[in-house]
Amino acid sequence: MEEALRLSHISKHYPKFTLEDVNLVVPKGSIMGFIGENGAGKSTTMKAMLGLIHPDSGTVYVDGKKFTGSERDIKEHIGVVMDSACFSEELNAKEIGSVMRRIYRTWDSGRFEKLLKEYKIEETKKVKEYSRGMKMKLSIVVALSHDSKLLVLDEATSGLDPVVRDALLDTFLEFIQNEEHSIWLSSHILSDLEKVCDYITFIQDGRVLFSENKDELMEKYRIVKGSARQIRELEPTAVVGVQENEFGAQALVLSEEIPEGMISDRPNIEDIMLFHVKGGK
Amino acid sequence: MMGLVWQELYTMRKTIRLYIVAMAVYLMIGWTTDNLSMFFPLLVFFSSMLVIAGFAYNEKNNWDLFANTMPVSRKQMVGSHYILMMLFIGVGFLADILLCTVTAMRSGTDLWELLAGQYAVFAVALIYVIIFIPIIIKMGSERARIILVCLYVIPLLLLKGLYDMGFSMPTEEQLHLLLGISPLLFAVGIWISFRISVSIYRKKDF
Repeated sequence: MEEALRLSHISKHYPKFTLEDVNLVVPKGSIMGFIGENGAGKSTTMKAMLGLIHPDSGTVYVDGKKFTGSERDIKEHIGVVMDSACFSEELNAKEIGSVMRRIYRTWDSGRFEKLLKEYKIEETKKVKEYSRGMKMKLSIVVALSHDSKLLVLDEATSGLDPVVRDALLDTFLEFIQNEEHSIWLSSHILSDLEKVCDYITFIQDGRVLFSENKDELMEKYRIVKGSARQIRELEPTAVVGVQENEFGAQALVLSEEIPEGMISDRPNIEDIMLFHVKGGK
Repeated sequence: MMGLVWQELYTMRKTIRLYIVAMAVYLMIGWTTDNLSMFFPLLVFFSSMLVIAGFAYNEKNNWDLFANTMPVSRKQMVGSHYILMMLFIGVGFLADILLCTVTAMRSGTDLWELLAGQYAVFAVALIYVIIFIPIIIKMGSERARIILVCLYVIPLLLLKGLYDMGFSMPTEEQLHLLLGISPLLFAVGIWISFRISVSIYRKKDF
């Protein structure tokens, strides 16, 4: 398995928050979904990955190369989309293209113009006149108009309508058709991640709780329903979390440890995340 | 790095246009009243203010956060501001020289005397900006503005203090010597300011 991105023992301490020993790998040709609550450390991890903050310890490798020391070469092949478009509101798409042409050696003006047409982005309209959806689309067009091998998308689909989101997800899936390409995608819209991701990493309070293949992850757990007494009798080491209400209880349990005869459902990513966060045993 | 410079020029074109219109109005007022003495310093100072405005626009758009994900080094990020500084102040100073020449020809004033005054204004503006850029990089444009006000007051107080202590004004010879070596002093000042700014910017977390 060739690695597009590896974060090895990344730590960063702030007065009120610590990112602790983050380790994860994004294999080439895959999409990694990064999930967690607000303030869990998603953006801090992304910033450490892109050299926007200085980690206290740890190393980032992109395409097998150490990030520190070859930052400029590596960044030539990374496309980044932040949760808000960071372009000046006074510029139009044509001018943004003209700026980027002078920054990226691999900038492809033809591809940029083609993508603008494909996404119906008016070249001469100023960014301040764009809707949020248009701004995000423009950011993605910019990320795709140079030789990006790794796309880093931070809440890129948040606040967009389902039609636009679906179109963007198709774009991401098309992007990874090239086996050299990979995507790191952080989002609160877990249904989007479930649709497109190959791997899921879950971070909570600055620590990575798991980083696994999505299909294996969804096979690994089951939601077991029963009376509160039945749930309490489950093997404690097999239970991730329990939720009780007046009608009974349900628990996220390791699939292999479910006693015969108990009703169980397949969880989705949201269930897995919620049981990890709220379903304290 | 030129991409970064163009980004700021595109972003600030409205402000630049506004400054040009404001300058044209001041020029017309000065021209019709035969008093351009206030106009010349304004020209250079407005140019230096553009440098500061550039930082404020970038902060508003979160540009540095995004720009640092692109293949540009932190040194280049800082360098683009120094290029713009030299461009804005340089253009302001050239326009100043041109207008001084026209004024001298029109009114018969001594051109060299006019230019010497403008060179002093240019020098003060440049000194302020090269001190101010590292401060703005460290503190951000909002908080740095308060310090900018102090920066204007401190030299005046210092001069007054020196005057009160009985220090005499420099002689004409000393002034000529200072004028002669001033380009070198500016170059060294810009270089030191740039190195300090790069060092601050490299340590920044976004």
